Amino acid sequence: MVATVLVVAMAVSLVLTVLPGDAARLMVGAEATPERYEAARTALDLDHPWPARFARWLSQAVRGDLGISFRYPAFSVAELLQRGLMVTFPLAALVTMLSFLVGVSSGVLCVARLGGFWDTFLSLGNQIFLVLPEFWLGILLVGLFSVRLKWLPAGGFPGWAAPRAWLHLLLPCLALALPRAAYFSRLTRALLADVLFTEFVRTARAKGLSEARVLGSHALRNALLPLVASLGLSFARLLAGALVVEQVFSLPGLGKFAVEAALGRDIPLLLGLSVLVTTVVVMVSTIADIIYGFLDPRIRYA
Amino acid sequence: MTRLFLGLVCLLPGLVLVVVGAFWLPFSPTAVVDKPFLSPSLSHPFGTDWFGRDLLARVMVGGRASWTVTSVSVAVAGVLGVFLGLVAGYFRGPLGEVLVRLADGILAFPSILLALIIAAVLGRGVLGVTLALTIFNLPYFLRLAHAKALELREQEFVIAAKAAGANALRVLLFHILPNLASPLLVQTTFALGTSLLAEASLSYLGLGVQPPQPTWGRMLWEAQSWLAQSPWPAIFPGLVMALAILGLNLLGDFLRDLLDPHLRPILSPFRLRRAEERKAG
Repeated sequence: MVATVLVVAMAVSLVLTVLPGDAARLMVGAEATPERYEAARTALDLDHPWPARFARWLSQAVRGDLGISFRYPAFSVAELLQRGLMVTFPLAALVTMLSFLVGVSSGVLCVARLGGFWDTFLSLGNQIFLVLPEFWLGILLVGLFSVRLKWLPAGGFPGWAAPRAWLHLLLPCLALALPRAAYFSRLTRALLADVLFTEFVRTARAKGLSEARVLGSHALRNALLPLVASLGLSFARLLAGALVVEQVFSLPGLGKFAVEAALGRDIPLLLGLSVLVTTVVVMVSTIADIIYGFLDPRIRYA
Repeated sequence: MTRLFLGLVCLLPGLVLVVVGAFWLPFSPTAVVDKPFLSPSLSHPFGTDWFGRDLLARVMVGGRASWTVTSVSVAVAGVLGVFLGLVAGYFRGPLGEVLVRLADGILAFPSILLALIIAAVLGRGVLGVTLALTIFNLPYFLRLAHAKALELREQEFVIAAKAAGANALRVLLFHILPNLASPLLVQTTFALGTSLLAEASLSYLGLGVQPPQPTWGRMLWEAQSWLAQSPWPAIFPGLVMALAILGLNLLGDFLRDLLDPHLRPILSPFRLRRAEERKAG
């Protein structure tokens, strides 16, 4: 677990170091003053070779110090990431919950009416929403709900202290949740269709259980394992994956910092971001493994 | 068959507009030809944008960069990935093992962050985006070729070829590679779809092809600030692009079902009933 994060940090740090040319010069641009250039060299610690630099970065990183951002010299990378997470974390959680609930219930509905109207209709919708470009969906939602109907704010985020701040997250949440709901719906349908003709489902039917009980508790329980795995992964991936939609709605989340860091070549910030995202992905998959045990006794006793 | 038909119908506008646009354009994509913010009409089928430029012409030109970047990166990733994967799977050396692990690592890392890091290294522009998409696609092809080569190298026909004196290159190219044709076709179709989407996202962020050359993604970014005046500049480039992506995915689904019956999911009620009867014995 720690090894994965370490390898990623090393790889990203190496890639960012093997910049063609002078990293500090690239960071500040050709017209920068000598003082600014020197500051960049110091910030990047360029006077030492890469292994020494990485070792120092690592020893600071494990103590929670990810260095100073170069674009925002007043802030440390850790502070910036924290600010980004304040927006991205609730957004990702909201999107994951919404898409999971909608997706799984529509998947169950599909299987309950397999081959019927709802199945055809929802499967068609899934096919479309699954590949619909999220940022285009976001722009269309802004056009409809903010510009035309004037129901919701078009973008920006006033901070959590502002009244009804969550309204600003509603449209981005919708733009991100629809394709993911389509994914969960498809997955649920496929998983349930797999167990639909097994003996234990037939037994449940033969006992006289209602179709809702058969599908909802007996069949779904067996489909739950892969679903939980992709639920966790979907959340972890959203931390970076919400990036483009965050730009559409100009939300000050992790995505904003990532794009600014890339365009402004803010190496400490990019490195910190990569490490954060990887850590969350690794943590979530470990937690999913543990939850597996609770959901499936076969794994616990094995 | 419905998928084939629907897929082609969805893909056609995006492809035809761009191909035709390479030879003939209704207007210059950069010239002001009419009043700004016109709705679609006969003289301007997609309307005009905020300067009064013809949107159809801009969509036709905008797709050029998107398709070029997409197809070049998929082609490079495909050739390179298949080659590396075949070699790694066939020879099973420690280097191959490292390659596969590396591919797994890239697959696990968020692709958009990867693209941003590459853009930070190479700067904005066509080269950075093409390279980013190549690196994004490479692991999929590598894994595919690696798995197939591992599976096929023990098969009789490969052993027979070796016994007949074929060298490794000949075995790989003429005996193993042809067996990859159908999964590769499917993978390429899907890769084109996802890369088209990724290219649009990156140029939306301003990392891709730089203005004044329009791309679909960048057009959407620009159109967003004029949403209050007219929705059409935000609708048409996105629509053409979304349809092309949908079409490629439908085609990929169709090809997969056609070429690999094992992967065929339970789709129709008819097939379901058959499955039920089989289970019942």
